[in-house]
Amino acid sequence: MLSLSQPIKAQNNDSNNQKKDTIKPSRVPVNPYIRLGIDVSSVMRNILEPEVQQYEVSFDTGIQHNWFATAEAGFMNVNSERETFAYKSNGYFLRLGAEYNLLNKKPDPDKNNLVLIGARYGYSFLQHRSPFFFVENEYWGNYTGSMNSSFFNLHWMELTGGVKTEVLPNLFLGWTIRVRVRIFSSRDPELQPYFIPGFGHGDRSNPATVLYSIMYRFKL
Amino acid sequence: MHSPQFGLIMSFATKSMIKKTRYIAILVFAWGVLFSCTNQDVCEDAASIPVRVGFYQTDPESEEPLSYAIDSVSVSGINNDSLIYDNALNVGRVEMPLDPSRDSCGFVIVFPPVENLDLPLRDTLWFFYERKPNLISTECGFVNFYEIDELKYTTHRIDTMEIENTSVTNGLDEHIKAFPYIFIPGDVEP
Repeated sequence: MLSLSQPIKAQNNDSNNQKKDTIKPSRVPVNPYIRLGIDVSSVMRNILEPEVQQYEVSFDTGIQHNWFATAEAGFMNVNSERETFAYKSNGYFLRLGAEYNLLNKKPDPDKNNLVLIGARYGYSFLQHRSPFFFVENEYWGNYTGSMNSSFFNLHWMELTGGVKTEVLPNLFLGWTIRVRVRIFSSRDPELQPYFIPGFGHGDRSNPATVLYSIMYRFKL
Repeated sequence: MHSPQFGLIMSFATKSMIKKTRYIAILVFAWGVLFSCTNQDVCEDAASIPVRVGFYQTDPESEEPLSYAIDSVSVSGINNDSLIYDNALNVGRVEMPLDPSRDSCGFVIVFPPVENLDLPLRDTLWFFYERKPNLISTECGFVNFYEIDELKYTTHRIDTMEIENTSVTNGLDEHIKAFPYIFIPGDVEP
């Protein structure tokens, strides 16, 4: 009796093991990682427009199949002085969002090319002042003034689309097109901000920009 | 869920696009880095941010404003002898610079005489505004934008004025519509 039960029990154990061995596609990436990047286009703009210095880093990680959580942060400094004006500004920004990969329905750690669409919430804070400025006016006469330090903050939403490509093991290059829409600003500023950290030039309502990034993936 | 057709298109497009992924990506990246730059603003007219007043008459049927050109007009600032417009002909709109050193300024508009009518020739406009310094660019420097709070005017030759846009910036918008009295031969004085 025992001998007859053993094969059945063994067979049952085998079937149970087969059930346990049948693993459903994981909803969490098999190899968790964090990808750290820097915005190279900011570096180039800093060279071309040296009076405006902005630096930005990014973080992203997979949170689910084809979904990524992203965070970007940085700071900005403007120091411009000419014969007719001086303008100083500094601030920081933060963007949080998510992206969806349009490629690869199944997670495959060997396929690391991403075509992404996403959205972000952005927040920026800055402090700026103008020790002196000169306004030319041929009819009424020129005017010289100054503006004390004041604060400004802005909330906005971004829609993004772009590509990330693994060019070397764990080294990625990528670009994103971003359309930004202002949601809310602190108050109507007395001194218009020249450059809003993380957003762009202050005179643009809904700027569209292209960002280029280099990233490295750290496997956890 | 994407349709199969969309999936095929995206798959084909992305596969063909990234077929030589590393080489193309590096080229695109290098190009982007080299040409990632901000546009340079033009400084034309940066020193003058005028308020624009257009002249209109009301269409009696549709009651919509229609552009109206005044035969000749002269405009000058109050306490400023210089003429902004000196008997300019066929004028449909005037542009007047606001005073950047004060929060208000005034202008005198001189209209042409009307035959057989002894009418005043001029009206006075007073603008009250907030000044908003704005750094256009590091090359062009600062200009003042303005936010119009109030407009006062006499009604000798102007019937009504309507503020359409309170923000006076370096755009090309018209800010105010002016409706002068329209006189035809045979009219009596108002």
